[in-house]
Amino acid sequence: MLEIGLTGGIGSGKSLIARIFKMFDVPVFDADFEAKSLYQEIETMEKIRQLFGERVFNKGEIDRKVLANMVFSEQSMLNKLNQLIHPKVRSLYTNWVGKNLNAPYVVYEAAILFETGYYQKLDKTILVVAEEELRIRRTMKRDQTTRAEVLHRMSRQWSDERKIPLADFIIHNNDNDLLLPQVYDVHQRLLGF
Amino acid sequence: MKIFKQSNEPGERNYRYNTSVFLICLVISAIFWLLVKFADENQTDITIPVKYTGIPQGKQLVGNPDSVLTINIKSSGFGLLRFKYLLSEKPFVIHLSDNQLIKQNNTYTYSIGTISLVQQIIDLYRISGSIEYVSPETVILRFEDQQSKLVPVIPDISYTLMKQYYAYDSLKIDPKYVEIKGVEESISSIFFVKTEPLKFENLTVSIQQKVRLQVPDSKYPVELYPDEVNLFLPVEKYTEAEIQIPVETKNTPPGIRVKLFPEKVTVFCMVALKDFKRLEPSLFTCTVDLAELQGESRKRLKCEIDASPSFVKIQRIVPADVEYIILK
Repeated sequence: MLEIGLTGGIGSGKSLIARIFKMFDVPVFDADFEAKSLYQEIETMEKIRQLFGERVFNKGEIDRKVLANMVFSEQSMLNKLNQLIHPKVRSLYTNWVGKNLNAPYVVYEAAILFETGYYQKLDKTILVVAEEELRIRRTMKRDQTTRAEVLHRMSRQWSDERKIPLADFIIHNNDNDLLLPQVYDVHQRLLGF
Repeated sequence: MKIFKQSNEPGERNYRYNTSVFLICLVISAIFWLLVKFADENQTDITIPVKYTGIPQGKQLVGNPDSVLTINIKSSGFGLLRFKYLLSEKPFVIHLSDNQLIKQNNTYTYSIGTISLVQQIIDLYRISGSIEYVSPETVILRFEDQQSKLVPVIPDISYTLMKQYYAYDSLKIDPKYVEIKGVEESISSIFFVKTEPLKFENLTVSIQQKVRLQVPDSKYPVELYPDEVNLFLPVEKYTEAEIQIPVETKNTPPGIRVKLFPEKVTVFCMVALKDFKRLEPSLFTCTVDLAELQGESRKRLKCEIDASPSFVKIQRIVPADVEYIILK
């Protein structure tokens, strides 16, 4: 069974591509969703309290915006958070893979894959790309946020130009691109491996 | 200046008084002259309107029956004056009786000699003189059998609604058909009747009221039963709702499978507030027609709503079309 990484910059539409893979009965693991779920667990909350103090909590819950501001302003803080969350996500993923051994391949969907180096542990990678302006507009609409905020978040990710050479498959998700034939083509090729 | 000066002189003032006395005397003598003249006997023609009652059951007056009688009266001036200006507007009623009808083919005629009516006219108008003659000498009336049929009622209603308000259902008329009665010549060319025109603006509440029917124009009068109908237009406040429904395929060629993306679309519709909770995806059917693919290559297939509940008004489907791939 192959393990396939699916990634793309903010607003590229990787979740949409993941939905199409699910349509073809391919199991998809949403690493970002699982990571967010971990923030709700008491054990994780306690670890975060120890690492970052009470200031990242609001009404007993982790204020992810405050936490993000803190970790993205200091690399050491980000590393600490990654060291806490990523192993737990990987552990969940490993268990999940064990439940899907009958599938010809599974997809690991994550916003950052190349940046963390985790792509090296996967068999193939799919990168979803879209024009920058389109990605900004999509994110502003989806998250009800400002252009400046979107640009700030994009600046923390690798550019598509840097990621493209590392990817095995590229899916273009601009407004006029047909997604289904592209995903189906990748799907067929992955079934052939 | 000379006249002005004269008028201030006492002798001239007497002259003025003499003129007034003359005018008063003239008026009095004119009055006396009129009284003498009115006391004289005169003869003149006076027209009086005629009404016909007791029209036989199931019959209708046709043709052009006399609507006035001209009577020649010999009477004093006072009598004529009183009659002409005070009483002649009062119609003279001629009561018809069935047994005087004479059938000729499909019509019935009724005739009455007006000389026989003289005494009735004298009694009704209390004429002090004598009636020399009445014109016409004979009143001839023509009747035909009254027919009836049912015709549909067409509402002549226009309305506008306030923003967010919609007609919940179509305009209802009760009864939808009314009976029209009249001679065959009239009702054979009438195929519907319209309501009186009504106009409503910026409605926010339902309309429920009676509305009169317009009697259609025809050569002979027609009667409507009933002559008014109930009008009902339910109006409700609507809100926009969205609901996700799966897209299905139709006219799928045999031996092929088709994958659509997205598999679900969002239907935006207007729904009455009272029906909001009734909205369910199972009430909608959204399809793409694979027959569109025959003979031409398309990138996307247009989504169509094949079934939706009657209580919603579809606004748009997002996305309006879906991608597809054919799996052989």
